[in-house]
Amino acid sequence: MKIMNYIMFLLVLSLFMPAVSEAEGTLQSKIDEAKKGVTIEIEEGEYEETLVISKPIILKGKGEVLLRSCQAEPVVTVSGESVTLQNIKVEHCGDEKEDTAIYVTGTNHKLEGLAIRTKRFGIRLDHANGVTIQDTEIVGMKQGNGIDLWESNQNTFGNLKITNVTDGIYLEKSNGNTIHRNDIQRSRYGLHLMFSNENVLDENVSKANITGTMLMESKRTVVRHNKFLSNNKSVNAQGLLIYMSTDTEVTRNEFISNRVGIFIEEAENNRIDSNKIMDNFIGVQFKKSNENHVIRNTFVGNVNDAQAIESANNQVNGNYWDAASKVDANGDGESEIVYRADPYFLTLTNAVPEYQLFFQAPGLILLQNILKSPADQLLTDSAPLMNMTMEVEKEKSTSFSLWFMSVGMILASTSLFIFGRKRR
Amino acid sequence: MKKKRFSFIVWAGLIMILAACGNDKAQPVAINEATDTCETCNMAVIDNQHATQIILENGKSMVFDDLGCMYEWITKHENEKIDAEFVRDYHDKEWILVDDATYVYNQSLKTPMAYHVISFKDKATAEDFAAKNEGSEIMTAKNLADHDWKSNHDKEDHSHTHDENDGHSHSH
Repeated sequence: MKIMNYIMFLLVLSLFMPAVSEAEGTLQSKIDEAKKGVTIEIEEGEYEETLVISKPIILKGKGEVLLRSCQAEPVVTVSGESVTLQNIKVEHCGDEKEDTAIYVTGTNHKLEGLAIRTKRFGIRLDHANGVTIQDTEIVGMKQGNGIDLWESNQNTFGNLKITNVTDGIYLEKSNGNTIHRNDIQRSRYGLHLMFSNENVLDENVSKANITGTMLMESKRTVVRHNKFLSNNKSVNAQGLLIYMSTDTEVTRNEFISNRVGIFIEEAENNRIDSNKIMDNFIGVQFKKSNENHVIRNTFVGNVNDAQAIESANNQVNGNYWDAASKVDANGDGESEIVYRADPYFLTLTNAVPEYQLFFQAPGLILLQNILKSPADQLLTDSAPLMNMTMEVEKEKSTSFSLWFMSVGMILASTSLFIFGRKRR
Repeated sequence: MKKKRFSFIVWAGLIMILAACGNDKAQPVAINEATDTCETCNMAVIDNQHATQIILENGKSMVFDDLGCMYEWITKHENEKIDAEFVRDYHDKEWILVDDATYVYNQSLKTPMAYHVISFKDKATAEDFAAKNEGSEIMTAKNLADHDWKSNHDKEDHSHTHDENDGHSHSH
């Protein structure tokens, strides 16, 4: 009987043998066998497994390739140096707090043409340097960051489309990274820098997030040619928030239709130069911030151009304010009338929100001129410009819809008038 | 006589009610992730174990995303009348009074604003955590008040700059 059992055991064992040889055909086994520098092409199809890559190889999807896993570990873990991932869809279906689609550490990796679906984190860079991530789409469920950097320097992110995550790209203690031409929408914060220095944010679009970009305790950040649009869905929304950060260069950006265009708190020596600040509820807001420069910006169509609290010592010069009265007596392009952005209406409505009903009411404007806010709340431009520093195209769609609406209303009222009469 | 007794009862009752009101302790308000931002740093407050809260005597509640942010606020607003300060248990997120909690400071702990301090409702759990995580320091509420929150950030920043300079000199 004992011998029979033994034979049965052997038979059962032999049944599992083919499975072992099949396991050798997994992607991981191909990676393990591959020599440095080779390219592994993945055949089209879905692969339910997690990969660990620690040597310089190229992993490339041929056609539609999906790697999927709901395990605790990342779908792809990249370490060492010069690993390339190309043309692969990656999906992490786990819902644990730390779940990550792709985890990257090491140097000089390249991730391109990826499409990532995740419930938590998209790509995490941990002590990763010189990594390039480009032409990639990340979609989350607002429970983790799209790209998350921890002590990772000199990395480049380009042409990424990130939606529905916590923070689009989050940097903590990470320096010298370049974030260029990315599009981040419907997330908490578009770009979020914490204790990170010398990073360049260039030509990105941050739209319909709670905050377009957050710069926190970061130094020498360059923010140029970005668009911060419609960050207005939250009571705390703003285009750009600069908190306790110094030496930031904010040049040639567009801040359009945000709740607050730029909010600067406890920050010094920052330069806001040649930006278009348009159709925001508040254009620029200062709080306990001094020694900042606000020059050559164009302020158009903001409900309140500027507000300053405990921030009397900022250089505000040569901006264009559409709300300002302008007289140029000597023809130098600068108005002789000093412009003071008075947050009177804002202060009033902060105390009693119902007063918003009196927006632009003649009585309120009169009151504002008589009473005036305290000097420390005024933002004064000593030489406001006569002309805009950049072209401001008025949106055609709004005027069109306005015409459409008025014509519709005229038609409706006349028809009511006519038919109402006939019935009698 | 009856009238007098009646009024005595009414008065006694009123006094007791008033006394009860006085004893009514400030209660923490639940975090609303959609609208709550840190009073100090403006970041959204997540409903997690790092959230802290101050209730002022006028009933106003303020929330913070990190214990350090709360102490930054306290040092900057010495004249404000604080009724109660709350932190949360690291494990079950229960609100506890600052003085009733035990704290662990560990430079490698990640907190929202990198102040590296977490709170526990019982001392034993805190000590257990500290024993398991190297470099931990047990603190009481009294230690927190004396803790140098600000320089903690500065220190970090300095070491940071050094790292970065080293990195540069290597790469060039």
